[in-house]
Amino acid sequence: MAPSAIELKPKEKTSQRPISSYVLKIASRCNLNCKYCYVYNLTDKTYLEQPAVMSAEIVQATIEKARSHCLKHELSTVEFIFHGGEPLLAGEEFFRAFTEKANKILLPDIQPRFSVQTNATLLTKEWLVLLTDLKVSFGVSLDGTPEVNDANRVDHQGRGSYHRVKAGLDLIKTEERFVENMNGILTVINIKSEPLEIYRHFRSLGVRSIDLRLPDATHDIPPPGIDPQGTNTPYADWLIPIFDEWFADADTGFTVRLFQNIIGLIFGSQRSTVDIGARSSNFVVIETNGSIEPSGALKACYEGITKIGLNVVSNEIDEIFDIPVVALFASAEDELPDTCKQCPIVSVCGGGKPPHRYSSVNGFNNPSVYCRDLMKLIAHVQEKVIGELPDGLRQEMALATLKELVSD
Amino acid sequence: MDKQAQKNFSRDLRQNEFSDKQLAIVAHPLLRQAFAEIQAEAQEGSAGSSFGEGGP
Repeated sequence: MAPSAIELKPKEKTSQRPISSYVLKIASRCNLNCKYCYVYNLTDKTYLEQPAVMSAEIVQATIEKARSHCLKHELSTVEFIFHGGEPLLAGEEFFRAFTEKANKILLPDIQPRFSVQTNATLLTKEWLVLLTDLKVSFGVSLDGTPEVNDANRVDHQGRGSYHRVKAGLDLIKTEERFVENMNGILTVINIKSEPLEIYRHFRSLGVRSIDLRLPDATHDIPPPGIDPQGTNTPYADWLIPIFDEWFADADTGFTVRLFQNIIGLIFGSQRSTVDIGARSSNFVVIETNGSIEPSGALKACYEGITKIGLNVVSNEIDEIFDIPVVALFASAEDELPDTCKQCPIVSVCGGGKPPHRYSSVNGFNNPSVYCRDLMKLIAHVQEKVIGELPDGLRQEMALATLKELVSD
Repeated sequence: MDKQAQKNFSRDLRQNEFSDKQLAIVAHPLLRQAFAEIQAEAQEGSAGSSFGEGGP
């Protein structure tokens, strides 16, 4: 185990939030073998110890523990996010049984919401009908054009997945109710690609929302193109042209979640995605075997980091708050290094995603390995945004650009 | 009060210090959409979700 894991100490938390979202690893295997996947292809190989599909016993315990946690913390809604591996490998009957059981155990006191993140290669019309009928909304993972997607998102034979995903997307477009049920596309940024080509490609697919994710990385395993000791900002340089075109398009019918999130955070929103705005997180992962874990993205740090010894069969959800590594996500604001706390843009970036702060030398006590990129991107977005405010309103809001704040 | 205290990089509109009328003069549709979402968030009293596993 890395030294930093031992050095993590429990602290008094001020911003802990109850858990309202459960990421359920209902299938531990995947029919794809994406080169950047933190589950299979970074440092952690613990997936090999997991059952292939979540059992009925674990499903029952998960829902019951979620219910008791909701009641204790007076939560009236709870969200279950079916994830994997590839979650559709769990089979249609699993989805029927889970939603039926959740509705039976939780309603009417607690309203469950369901969603699934799929690679879409297994989607059929039957699946789409089922997900729509069960009110399970879905997101699709795709990295862009065929060439860019297939550079990383390959199957176990090394074959690209784009055309199978595209077939799934075409099926979705056959009925409006399927389109309505789709949350959007999730994309991992590939800085070797042409950003505007990627943006325009997604627009041409007819989807309504995309999210652009930074590759999982740490200071020990830096992202492609980043020299932690250098000064380059390849991810900001890739994202800014897309932001500018999206902002100029001004189409409220097409969401780029990362940018919308940054704008919201500039004006005080508490909604955050994981790459930025890492305010106290309110989700946990339930592994296929029922173990309760913090974000799986931490697996990029070192082997076994998410194994905290809790399981839905024998533990309560509240017990996670006693585990130091969970605090990185459950109380992210408290866990930032001093350099972040003193930074003018921390109200927006939130210090970034905790695994991006990790190094084997300092543990999580570092700015993000994406710090320069986040600062450049967020400063750019903020400057554009406040440039749209009438002068009087901007003054009333007392908003200043990063350049102005630094020069003061 | 020093200059740092007078100026900010961000502003919390959930505090309802600005009226709908004040915000309505902003023309950009994406900003109007953001303001509406923040107002809805404030009314819901919800801090929103912040999962990060590729969640929809």
